[in-house]
Amino acid sequence: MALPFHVLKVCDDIIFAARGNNIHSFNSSFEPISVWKYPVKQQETNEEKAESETPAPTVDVEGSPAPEGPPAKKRKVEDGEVVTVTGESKKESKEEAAEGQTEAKSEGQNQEVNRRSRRQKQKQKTEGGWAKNNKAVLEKPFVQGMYLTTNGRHLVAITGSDKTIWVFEHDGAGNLKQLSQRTMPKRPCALALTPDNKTILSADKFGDVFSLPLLFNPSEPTAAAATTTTTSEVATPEPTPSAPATPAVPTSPPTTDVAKAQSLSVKPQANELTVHTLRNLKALENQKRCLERQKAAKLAAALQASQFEHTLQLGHVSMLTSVAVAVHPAHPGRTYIITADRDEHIRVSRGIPQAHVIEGFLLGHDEFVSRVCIPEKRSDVLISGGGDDDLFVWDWVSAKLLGKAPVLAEVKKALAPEETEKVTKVAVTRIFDVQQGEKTQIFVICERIPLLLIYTLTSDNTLQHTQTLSLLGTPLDVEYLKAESRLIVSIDPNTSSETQEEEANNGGVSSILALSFGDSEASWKVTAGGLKVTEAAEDDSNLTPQDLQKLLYTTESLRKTNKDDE
Amino acid sequence: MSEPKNKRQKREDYRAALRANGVTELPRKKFYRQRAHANPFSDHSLIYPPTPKQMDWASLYPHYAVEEPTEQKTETTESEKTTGQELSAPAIRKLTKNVEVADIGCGFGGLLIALAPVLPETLVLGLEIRVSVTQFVEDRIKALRVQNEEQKLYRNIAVLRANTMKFMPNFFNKGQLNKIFICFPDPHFKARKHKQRIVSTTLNSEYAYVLRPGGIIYTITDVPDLHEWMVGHFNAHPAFERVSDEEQEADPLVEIMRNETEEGKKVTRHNGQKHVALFRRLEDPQWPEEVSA
Repeated sequence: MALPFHVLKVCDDIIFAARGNNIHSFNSSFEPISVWKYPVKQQETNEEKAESETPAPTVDVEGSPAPEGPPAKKRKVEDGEVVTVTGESKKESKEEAAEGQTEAKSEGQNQEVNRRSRRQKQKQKTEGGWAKNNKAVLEKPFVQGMYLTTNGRHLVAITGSDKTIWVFEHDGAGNLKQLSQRTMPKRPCALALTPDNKTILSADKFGDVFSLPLLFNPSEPTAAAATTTTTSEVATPEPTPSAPATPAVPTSPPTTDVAKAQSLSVKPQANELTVHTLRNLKALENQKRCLERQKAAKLAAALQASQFEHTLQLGHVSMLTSVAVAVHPAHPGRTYIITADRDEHIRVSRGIPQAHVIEGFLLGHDEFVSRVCIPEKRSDVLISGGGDDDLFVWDWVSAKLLGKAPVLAEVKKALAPEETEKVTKVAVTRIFDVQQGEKTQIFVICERIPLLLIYTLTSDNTLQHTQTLSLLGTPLDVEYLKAESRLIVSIDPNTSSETQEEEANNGGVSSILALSFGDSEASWKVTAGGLKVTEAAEDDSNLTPQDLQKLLYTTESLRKTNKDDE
Repeated sequence: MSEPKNKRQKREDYRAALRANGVTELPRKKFYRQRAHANPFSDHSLIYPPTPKQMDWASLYPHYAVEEPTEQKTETTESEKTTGQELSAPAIRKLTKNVEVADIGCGFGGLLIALAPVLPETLVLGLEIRVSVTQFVEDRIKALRVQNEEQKLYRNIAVLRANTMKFMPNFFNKGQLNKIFICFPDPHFKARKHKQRIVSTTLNSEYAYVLRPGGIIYTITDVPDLHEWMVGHFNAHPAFERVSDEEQEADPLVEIMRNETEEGKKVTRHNGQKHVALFRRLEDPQWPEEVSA
């Protein structure tokens, strides 16, 4: 199983292609330039992180909650394991020391468990146990979208399950430098950039659109401190009160698993009624205070994660699927925000700072809307598609439907007869416009359909189907190399119809196809010069094919199936 | 466990009988009860028109339907250039006037029925998300229309099952409404449920869209926190301003809203407080470029 390049973005002659949670860059002949790797918070991957040209300078959001207040002291235990001890628990251990025997006993227990946990960790390392955990795999934040500023200087990416927006500086030659990482309150579904390249609009799963500045400085020193402590080094203060009367209660060792430690430290096991000496009572009080402080620190960390400027601009009560910033040729000074949602609506609002004014709705879809496209040279027209059988063409500024163009019918025409029976609905995943001289061409991809539909937007605003191209596998994204007039289409290699021999001859399975327009035939065709990948080259794809499907094909699931009531 | 089944059976029998009788007597509430909360985010199986133009208002307000639908239709829609042949397929009878007052979350319809004689020339629509409750109001209005046939009363009110948080623009055109009532909405106390509240900064933009400039939103609640929330969110929205207290008390509809809704009566019985706030829809601001020019 090979990971496809599921999101493409072209900047002049540089191709950015997201594969899993990494972003690769290529030149126009698909020679690799660089790779940005998603910073994984695992010790062993830290080296990789350093190797990649983009060190992560920002807040380690999912990492451990930063201990607020006085920095934790580090104590060296025998085997070189560093244990962090906060003031309270140290005091406790002092008290324990006074008890002599118990101290020795618990210390021994501590070490024993330490050793055991380390052994477990080693085992995990060798077997790659963490990745085998299905949940961890699903938490793998795939890149969901990439967006370029109009000047090509910055690339903005969203990763899915960790709700993060990444901003990179692009040097123009394909190298990315990570500038910031911001975790949104809800999962962003799509972004748009304002024409002045200063503001990102993030449309999220909860229906809200937030604006946030493109450039931002994570300047909190505490945040930097948080990144230095890796998860395995953080030990929470021992939650069990040192009750000498009950030495049998095992003191919890510094666990490797932060979550486990947290769940343990949620509540002290003892209460005022179960401790019998003044000292123990004091210890318990200390402990409670410590827990409160921890809780506050956790809260602060969570707050910090959202402590960057982001302003709510507008919102639907429905999951957003697409957002665009548009300028109508008739009013060059006005900007509009266009948002599409799962409940068949396309909303046209004014741009910032008047985003609260709704200018109109483009209504008429019967199923979810997944994509809107405003062709670059024909910005008076909006093309929308989703779960409906047709594409809709709108005069968006006056909220008028201009016409429709069939998608499902064209798909059925192009597929083999036995396939046609099975395809009863389509989910449009991409609508992409290419300007060739005076001609505006629209390329459409539907989920799990190995076809590329090509339309022409005529001057009288009708969308005419001109060609359907059969592809080797199901297409995932489409982009255009302007200088070479070449279209590139990434396909899912796992669905490729290439035979093993073909793969062997070609040096790998096709992952990105190159298409060019043949003037003689007046049609597009696949040409040589795509990108092949070899399956063996896959590094960390411990994903099952099912998981990968879930991550790649998400559009059809927007369709409403829940028809029960009351 | 035969008790609940029995109840359901009774309910169905009652409603069937009511319908068979030609709906001349008022429905009894006990056969229409439904839990007070509905999840506005779930899909339900709602029926709503794709666009306001395709809404069949004539079935709700039969007495206001235009007499000759086919001829009138071509005239009234002359401004709309429809290229899609599907759009003009079903002949929808037009009304002589549009709905101008909406009661969002009308519940058992007390306000609607009180408003009917007070606003005789205006079409008033109640919107309710709960199926049984909507059915009750529908049966109630039907019965009232039959009972008051000679006086021609209650012909200007109707009820519709809808999720206004999602589908308001499917029913109403821009600036169509003159008044919106939001009476005793679900308070959604938990912070994580605040997005489900019927008033929020983002939803207020939609109210501003369907309301014409000068139109009024009426809110009332017995929950002080929610009152503050609603006032805060409308005040924060540039399209609305709060109506002054004097003007508020001078509005006869405020008194009706206080006393005629079912929730309002309940609060009175419990000696609860009622917090009223009215907001006026302002004109849209000029485009920034036009200001600077």
